Amino acid sequence: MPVDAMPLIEPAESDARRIAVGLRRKDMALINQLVELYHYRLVRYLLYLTGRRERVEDLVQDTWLRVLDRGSQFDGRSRFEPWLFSIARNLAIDDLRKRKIASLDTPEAVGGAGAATEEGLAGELPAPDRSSPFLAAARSEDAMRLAAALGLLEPIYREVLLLRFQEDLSLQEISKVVGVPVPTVSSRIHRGLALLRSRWQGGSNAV
Amino acid sequence: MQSDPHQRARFLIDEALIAGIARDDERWLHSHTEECAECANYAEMTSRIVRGLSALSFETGPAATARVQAALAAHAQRRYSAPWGYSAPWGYSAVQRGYSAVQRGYSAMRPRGYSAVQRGYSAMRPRGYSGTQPGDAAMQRRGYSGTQRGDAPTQLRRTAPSWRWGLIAAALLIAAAAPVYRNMTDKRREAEMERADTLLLQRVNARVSQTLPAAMEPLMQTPQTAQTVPGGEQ
Repeated sequence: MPVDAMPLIEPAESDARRIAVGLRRKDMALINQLVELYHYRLVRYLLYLTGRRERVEDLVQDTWLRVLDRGSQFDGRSRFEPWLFSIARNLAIDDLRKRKIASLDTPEAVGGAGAATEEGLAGELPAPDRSSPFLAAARSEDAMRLAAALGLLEPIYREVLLLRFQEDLSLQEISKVVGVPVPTVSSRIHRGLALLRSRWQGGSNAV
Repeated sequence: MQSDPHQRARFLIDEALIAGIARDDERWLHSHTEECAECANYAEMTSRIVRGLSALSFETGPAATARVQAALAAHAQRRYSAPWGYSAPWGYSAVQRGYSAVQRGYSAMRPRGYSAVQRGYSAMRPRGYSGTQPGDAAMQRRGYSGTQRGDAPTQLRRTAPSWRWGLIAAALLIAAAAPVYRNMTDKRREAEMERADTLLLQRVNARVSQTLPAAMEPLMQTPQTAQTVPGGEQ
């Protein structure tokens, strides 16, 4: 089913409390609604975060299981999406760590060498492979160029750009998801945009 | 603040998309980009990139969502199959396990008249009891039709009402019996202590009042004699 045709009805922020109550009571009807509402965005976030398709479905499932198990931790004072994305992010990073430990001799999951020097867990995120979901998501020449540039971007910049411009999270919300201060988020987005712009220009010159 | 107006304009172009800018800055930027073609190009390219980022999409089937929902329902049924439908605290689970063990043991040694008692108990149940729970009406008001997928815990909740009543009755019985039992044990302990004290006193008295052996009588009399002669011979 094409994504554009998918109904993505955003729940109002006032619904956060209703979600919190429902999660606390393990209300399965509500949780199923949330799955329907956020499944696509969660898959997209994890896909772009990890740059790999293989593990995304498992990670999505693990994320929802954790939402069910730890639903009482969501207090309803802020929107649901940042909380959901931060769970997904932590699981993705744990998964990468496990795989790194399991196969230390393979070069995968060590990507983003530049990112490894950055503070926080963002250094754990891999650079995507070349047969990336970014290219699969591109539907026009412009989008192809952008997808190629995005695939080459270091994960810490890619992540904040996508959270800001795809998921439409505020800087404060991104700061909660990523676990870095707001000014760091802001500077990462500035830097990411600059890198994307230069690669975009390079691509257009090449064309 | 950037001293170079182009640098400032480019920063503001990005910042407008990232966090938003003040109205004065917006006005200034607008007038600048009208005059400066390079900065206008920069703004155009940046907004194209941002539009492109939000437009990247891929296909996903409803089967994936259904798989996740099925997994969640199975997990909830396995883990949260408490009679009250929501998460049972660990203490409750322990009590529940203990209660079911007691119930198993009890049913093994159940007297024959038990089924008659059970029938009487069923008759005591409210007549309008249809298996619906207090929260169901509220859920329906909110628009949950009850036909949602993964509603397994609700169904499970409805299949075990006698369980719940049994548990409530056991809890009430324990709550009522606890003070009586404590009172009884306290009284028994006090009586035992009293009896022990009496016995002890009796033993002490018996020893003190017993007659001295004949060989010790002179020793007892000597200090009494000395006391009767104050300042006398030592």
